[in-house]
Amino acid sequence: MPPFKTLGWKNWIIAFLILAGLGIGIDAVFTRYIVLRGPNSPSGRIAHLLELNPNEIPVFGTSRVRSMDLGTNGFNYAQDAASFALTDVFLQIELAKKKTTPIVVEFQFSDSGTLGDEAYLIPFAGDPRIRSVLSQFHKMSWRYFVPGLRYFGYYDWMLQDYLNERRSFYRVTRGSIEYLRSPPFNQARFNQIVRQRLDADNGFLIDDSLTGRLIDEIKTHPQRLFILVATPVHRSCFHNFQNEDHLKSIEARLEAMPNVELIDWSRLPYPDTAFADTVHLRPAETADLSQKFRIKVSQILQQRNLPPLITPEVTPGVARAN
Amino acid sequence: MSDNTWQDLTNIFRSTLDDEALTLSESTTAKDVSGWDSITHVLLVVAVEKHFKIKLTAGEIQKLQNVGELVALIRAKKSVTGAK
Amino acid sequence: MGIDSAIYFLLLAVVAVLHALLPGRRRVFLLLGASLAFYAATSLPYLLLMAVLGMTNYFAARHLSSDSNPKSRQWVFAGAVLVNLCILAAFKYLRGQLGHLLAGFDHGALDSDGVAHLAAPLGISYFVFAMIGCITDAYRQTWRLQGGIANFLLFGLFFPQISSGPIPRADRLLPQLITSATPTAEDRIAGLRMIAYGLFKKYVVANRLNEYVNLVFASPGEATPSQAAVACAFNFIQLYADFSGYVDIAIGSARLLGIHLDPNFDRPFKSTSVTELWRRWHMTLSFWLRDYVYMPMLIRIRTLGKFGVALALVVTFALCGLWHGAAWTYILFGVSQGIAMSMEFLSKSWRSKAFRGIPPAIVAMAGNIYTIVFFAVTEVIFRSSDLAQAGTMYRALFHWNLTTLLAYPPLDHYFLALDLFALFCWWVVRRWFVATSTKTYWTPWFTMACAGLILFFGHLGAAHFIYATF
Repeated sequence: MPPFKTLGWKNWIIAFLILAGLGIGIDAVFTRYIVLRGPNSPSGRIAHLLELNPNEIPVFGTSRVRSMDLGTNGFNYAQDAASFALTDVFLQIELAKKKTTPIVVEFQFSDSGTLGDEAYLIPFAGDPRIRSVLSQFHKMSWRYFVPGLRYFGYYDWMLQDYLNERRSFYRVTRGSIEYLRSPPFNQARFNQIVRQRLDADNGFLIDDSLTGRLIDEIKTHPQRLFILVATPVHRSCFHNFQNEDHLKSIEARLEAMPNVELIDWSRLPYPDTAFADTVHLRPAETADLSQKFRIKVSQILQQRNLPPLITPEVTPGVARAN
Repeated sequence: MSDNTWQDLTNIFRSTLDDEALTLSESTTAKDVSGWDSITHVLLVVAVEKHFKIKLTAGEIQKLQNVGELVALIRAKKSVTGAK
Repeated sequence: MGIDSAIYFLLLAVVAVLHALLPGRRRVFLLLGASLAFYAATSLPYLLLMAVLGMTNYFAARHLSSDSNPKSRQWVFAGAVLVNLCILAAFKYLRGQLGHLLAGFDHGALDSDGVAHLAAPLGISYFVFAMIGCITDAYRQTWRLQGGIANFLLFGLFFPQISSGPIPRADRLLPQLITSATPTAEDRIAGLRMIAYGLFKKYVVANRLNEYVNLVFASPGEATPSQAAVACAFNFIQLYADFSGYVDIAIGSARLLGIHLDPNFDRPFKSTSVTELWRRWHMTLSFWLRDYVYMPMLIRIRTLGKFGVALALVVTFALCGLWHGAAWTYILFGVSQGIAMSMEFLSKSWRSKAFRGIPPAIVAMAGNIYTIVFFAVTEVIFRSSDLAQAGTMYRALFHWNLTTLLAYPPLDHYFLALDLFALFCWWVVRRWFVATSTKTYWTPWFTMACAGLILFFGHLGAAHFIYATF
């Protein structure tokens, strides 16, 4: 006698089929209209990265370079809190292409050690490089291969991203670049944040395993110019920098390489009021920095006889984002 | 002697559980009486011991299943001590 | 493997199918094998520990169930209880010291600071209490051991219940395991229904609300009063959803195998007093404490009268708190419950006189509100990592001026709205759950609706990445 002879077991089959259909249908709609809604959404940028884009100058890094705007032929692939382990994956995808444009990579003195938000990588779990970095941070799941199941637990987070982009709740997006909103500057609050930085257990630390990988990529791709930029940070960050001497030798090594331009702006004398927290500038200052960077990049391209930026002039008022 | 036991017991229950209309039968258990729970159970036993001048052991108290058994236990103890 | 994970359900499905195909005699070996495999997946060394402990209890129970002389019975009983408690104490309350000891054997994990992190054996609290319960029953001669060692070990290690209870009683569970009845169609439907509802509570309600509570508890000093109030309310709601969800999955799983486990929750928010609450909340634990701690203690101090009752209540519930873990927050939580119950008991006659003129429905409602508020407030202590954090949370509730009273940072609105929607879904799903207890033909639709809600509104247990920097 079959073990599961229950009343209406046909109902179970029908109910399951309806659920499966609904799951797959909503997954498809969600992917098309929310997740991969355009080249500037978090997942859309990865899809864009996988295309050739022959004249594009990519920008890779973390939230500190998220607002770097190089105009029409620039594209910003920076991800919040991304460890270099993840940035390296994007770099590898880019370097596999037959291109000769420069690449902008953030040069960090500290690594977040986290993957950041893994949700936007889900549609690309089929790519072995992305799968391996997900596994490295214990974020890989068999569910990512199952349409209908793969966004389980993430639907409302991704919807929030979508709504935020539409309504600019706490981020303002302009094309592929993004500005974080900041509340008005408050010295007492800022002092608290500085206190957190000074008391933090893990100060800045140059991780040789990660910088070594960057150096390898630079060496094996001499046909491309690497523009490395270290963004301004508050002076309190240098308080417990664990291997600051090592920084000097790494920077010397990088500057000696023929296809590297190193822009170390980490010690620019910004006042407290310019900072949102100890490692990010406020929106207005970020916009200024982006302008400066664009001008600097134009100069570099001219000096090296490389094709100039397509829109070297900065669009005025591009980010009075508060 | 037996008549008093039932009446006395009912009085004890009524005063301990604060319910003047309470009645007991052989098979009454804690479930049947509102207010007779694990908290008041031991107070009932204390009142019974005081009134009938008997001492129950822990094992006897824990084994009680209903009022009928309690009455039987009281009578057994009283005949041992010879109390009225 | 947690009992809300995919791999657990794979195991359950395989076991359920094999269980139905095997004859009654063999089923205990299937279930025992599955339970051992389930436990081994967590830790093989601990499985050996539990097996040895289980066997010790088996032989003690066997001795106590035979007509042995009173002297030896006392020794065996005391010895067995002592061994159980020592193992429990060692792994739950002396983990630091134990970790150092075992680090030498490379089982405890010493991290870079040399601090020993030794995880407690899975379900040790539930297991030990189940064992002490049946040993005591055997000693009191209210229960006699039946069945062989396989059934007894299964009683202790039964895989649906080992991780989070309910705490089983030998006189109710062991006979079922020995009989190994074939589950009826009704059993299977009831089981699936409970599992679906339990998973819904866990993923859609508990996991969601927990994120909010975690966020506020992480920095209570910065919470506005409304945030703190919502966090308190969400805290005890998510605790109920989480725990009762897990228990529903456990009871439902057992049901699929034709086994009825004792319930752990019975509509606790209907309670009109804290005393009543503990008869409806974590029932197997509170009944265990009543039968094996409270009653024996009170009987021995009964000459102290009403004071004795109050003392026994406070001590019993202090132990209840301590059972959850070795921290002052847990103990304080337990003591607060005991004090509330004592006050309710001591004021009983006064209250019945004072409230004589008031309609009973109003009195009941007032009692209900008092109970829920009291429990929500004391659960804050339970959840806090230390007393200081609890204090800060309480201060946050009351630290208001006119401008901050209704202040609510806009960042939270979206998820707060979704959390409230999840609670509304729960209200709907629960009505449907209750309805399917009689209209069982709705069960497939109910189950799939729960699955759909879990799929689209569920949150994973691990916190989602929220970008925070300083």
